[in-house]
Amino acid sequence: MTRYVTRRLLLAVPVLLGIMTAVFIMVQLIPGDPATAMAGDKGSVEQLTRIREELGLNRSLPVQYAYFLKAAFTLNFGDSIRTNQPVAGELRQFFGATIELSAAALVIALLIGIPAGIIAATHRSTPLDYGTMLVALIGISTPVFWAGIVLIYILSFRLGIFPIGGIIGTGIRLDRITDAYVLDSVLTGNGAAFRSSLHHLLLPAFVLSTIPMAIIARMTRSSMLEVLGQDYLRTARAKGLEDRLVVIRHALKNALIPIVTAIGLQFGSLISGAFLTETVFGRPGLGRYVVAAIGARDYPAIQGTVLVVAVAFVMINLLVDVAYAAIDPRIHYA
Amino acid sequence: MSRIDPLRGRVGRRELMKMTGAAVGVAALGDFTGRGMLPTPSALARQDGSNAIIFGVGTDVDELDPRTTDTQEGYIVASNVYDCLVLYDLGATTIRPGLAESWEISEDGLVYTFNLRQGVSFHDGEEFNADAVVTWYNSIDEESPDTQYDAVRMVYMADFITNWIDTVEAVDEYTVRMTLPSPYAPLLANLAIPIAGIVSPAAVAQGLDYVMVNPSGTGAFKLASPDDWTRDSQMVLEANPDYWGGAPKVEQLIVKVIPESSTRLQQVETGEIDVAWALTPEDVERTRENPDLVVVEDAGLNTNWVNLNVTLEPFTSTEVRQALNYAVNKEEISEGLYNGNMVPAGGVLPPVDWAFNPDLKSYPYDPDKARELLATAGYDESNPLSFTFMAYTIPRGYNPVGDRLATAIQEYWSEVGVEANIQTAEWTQYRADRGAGKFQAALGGWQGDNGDPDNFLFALLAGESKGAGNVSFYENPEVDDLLAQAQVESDQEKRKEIYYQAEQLIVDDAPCVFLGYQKHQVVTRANITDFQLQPTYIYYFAGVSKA
Repeated sequence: MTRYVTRRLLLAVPVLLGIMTAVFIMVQLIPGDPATAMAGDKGSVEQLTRIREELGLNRSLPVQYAYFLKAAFTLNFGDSIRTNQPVAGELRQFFGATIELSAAALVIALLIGIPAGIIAATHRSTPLDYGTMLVALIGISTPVFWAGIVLIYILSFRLGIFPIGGIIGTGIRLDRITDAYVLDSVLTGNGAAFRSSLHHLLLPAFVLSTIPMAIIARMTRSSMLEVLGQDYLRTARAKGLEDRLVVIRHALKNALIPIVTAIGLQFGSLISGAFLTETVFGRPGLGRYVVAAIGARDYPAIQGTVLVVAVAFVMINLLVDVAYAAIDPRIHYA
Repeated sequence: MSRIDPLRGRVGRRELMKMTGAAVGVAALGDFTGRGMLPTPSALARQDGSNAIIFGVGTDVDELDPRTTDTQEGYIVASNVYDCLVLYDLGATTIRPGLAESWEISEDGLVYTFNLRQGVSFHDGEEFNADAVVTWYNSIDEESPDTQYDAVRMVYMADFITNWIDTVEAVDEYTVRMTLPSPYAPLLANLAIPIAGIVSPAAVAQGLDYVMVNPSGTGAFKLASPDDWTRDSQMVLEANPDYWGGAPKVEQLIVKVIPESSTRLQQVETGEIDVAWALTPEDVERTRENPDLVVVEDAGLNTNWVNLNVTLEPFTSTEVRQALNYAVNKEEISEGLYNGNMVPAGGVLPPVDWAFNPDLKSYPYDPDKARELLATAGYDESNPLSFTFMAYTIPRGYNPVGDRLATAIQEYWSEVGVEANIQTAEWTQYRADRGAGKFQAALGGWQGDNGDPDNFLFALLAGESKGAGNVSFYENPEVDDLLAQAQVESDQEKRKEIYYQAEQLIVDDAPCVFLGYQKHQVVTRANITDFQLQPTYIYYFAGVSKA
């Protein structure tokens, strides 16, 4: 297993390099550059030239690529062109917030999606099954930002159950360690911040969870259906085992592999898909950060974010593959 | 296919535990969302018990150094954390004393002597005096040995301030003298814009990277600690009780970042925020019936137009350009697209500018005249005028509806037989293409920086500004002469006369299709008093109170 993991980690390097190079090329292809983004309206031509010089934009592409590789390998992307803050610091800050939102969404998706899928599978072809799958279909088809705006209007604005966006109540101070607000308030023992940040987390996490929840439900259902028809289950029932135990202990465990794959992929898309939720709910995070960076042609910030997200993706996939070995003893890695 | 059947009667131990747990959970949730455990959002906001004004914006401040900040939100905060030598009169573009109590300008316009206010300190305790002004100036002046000038970070500093000043010296402890290489009347207005805020010399000494998160000015509000700023979320500013203009009426100014206009609207309706900035015109209209809210509005210091590239066909012809002006019904656009919130434009300068000419001869809506002129230029049904019309898509301060304005104009033009093919582009690309002259017609606009007419007319229409602000690439030597004269003339009345002449010439030449001026609107709670709009889209919060 250790050899397998080491090999995967080494293979991750060319993968990350490929991703970063692709992004480098794409960003260069976008018309405009940081100089026009900064000074386009009111800057004189000399000014724009000067800015380009200082930012090294006049250097030839291969040279720029070389500097870029150096930044990627030393993990030092310098300062954001837009905010002049070190990119690494900003990424750390927003990564915590985005991870917290994504993790909460995943937890909700699992808590509702898996049981829903099981129920649908064990009550196949009944109204319960059709009903659950219909709701799942609606979940997948509903755009996140629309659902967010509608739920904010009903639950926050009209009924006052949840706050209207934001990550924490106005004026509440919190010492931040990981920049995951709920976690930090627990770590620093800050009760007011805990209640406030949790309260602000629930609705956006729910909204973000709707698509993964639906996908996980459908995946669970189909995977369970496949397993439920197996002979060894018929044996278990013949032995006199309760249905519930049959389903949970035997069927679910064997059905897990496709479900775990789905979870891994969903978590990755949760991180990159958080932008819409962050914007609608007004929460700081990687999504909003990178979109602002793209608008400003903030190359260091864009590159830094892409690296972070790509690494997260690679790690999650690795964890998923390792998890397979834990779930299914037949799987072992040389 | 077997099923789980709880009705079979056997409720196992595990099931019982699960049901009990679920019941407890639901009960707790009920309490959680009801009353008691969680205070309502507005109570959380007032948790400190302090009297705070919560100002809702769409994007976060980028940095807290007035010398390097680049966003409107940054300018607004800088206007409250720092002071300039001179400030704007409340609600106007004329100048009043700031950190300078009075000043004299020499006859030849080359020497400005400022008499500084005494007994003023910076937030970090440093004393404000002539040496502080000199230290500040040296940090932004590229020629100075103590310079911290950075062309990338101080994008407008040279163009607005340091290019027009030779030396700044301390005559005595509270007198500063600025010497100019040549007379430049707009300089005083430029010294009132937020980028000219004076930074404490102790902070200056620590460098640009320090000041951008550790501001220290003389303003009515201060950032007590860098931790009070959570990026992309909120910034808590404390009142400065020793402010020279009188302590602020509230204890805190909190800047809260809420990206969506509709969410900002909802938050100001529930009272979660007190002032909602940059709402879309539709959202502003929704607040008019609400007795808890007030729309504070005024004509904006901005302009909207369609730039016509006068160096390319078909816009080398004056008749064509004038025809396009006659063809557009600006009153209808204002009512239809903006709910009456756009003031139709005759020319370039908005009404709120002191050089606005109420008698300017311009282009009323006259489609017949438009067709006539087009015919003179050789265009009619058999040979229709057709060109590409570039439009930006995002909302801008001077035009919140983005490309809908372009579509409306296209329709008016098609009624007189003109085919304008709209091409949209992302904002940065749009500016790049436009600046390079790669277009025939392009939707554009401008927000004034300093309230001086030079900031509109020279920046946008002088021959020298071609490729920068002058995206029509328009050049008229007579106009250039007049604009140059007005730049060196210190007497405001005389300048006004010169600008009247220049603007009329420009309008006659029609390098653009003049559209209108967007109203400057901010929505506040009814219990906020004395909130004033500055034409340059900043707000002085020192005098604002909350009942």
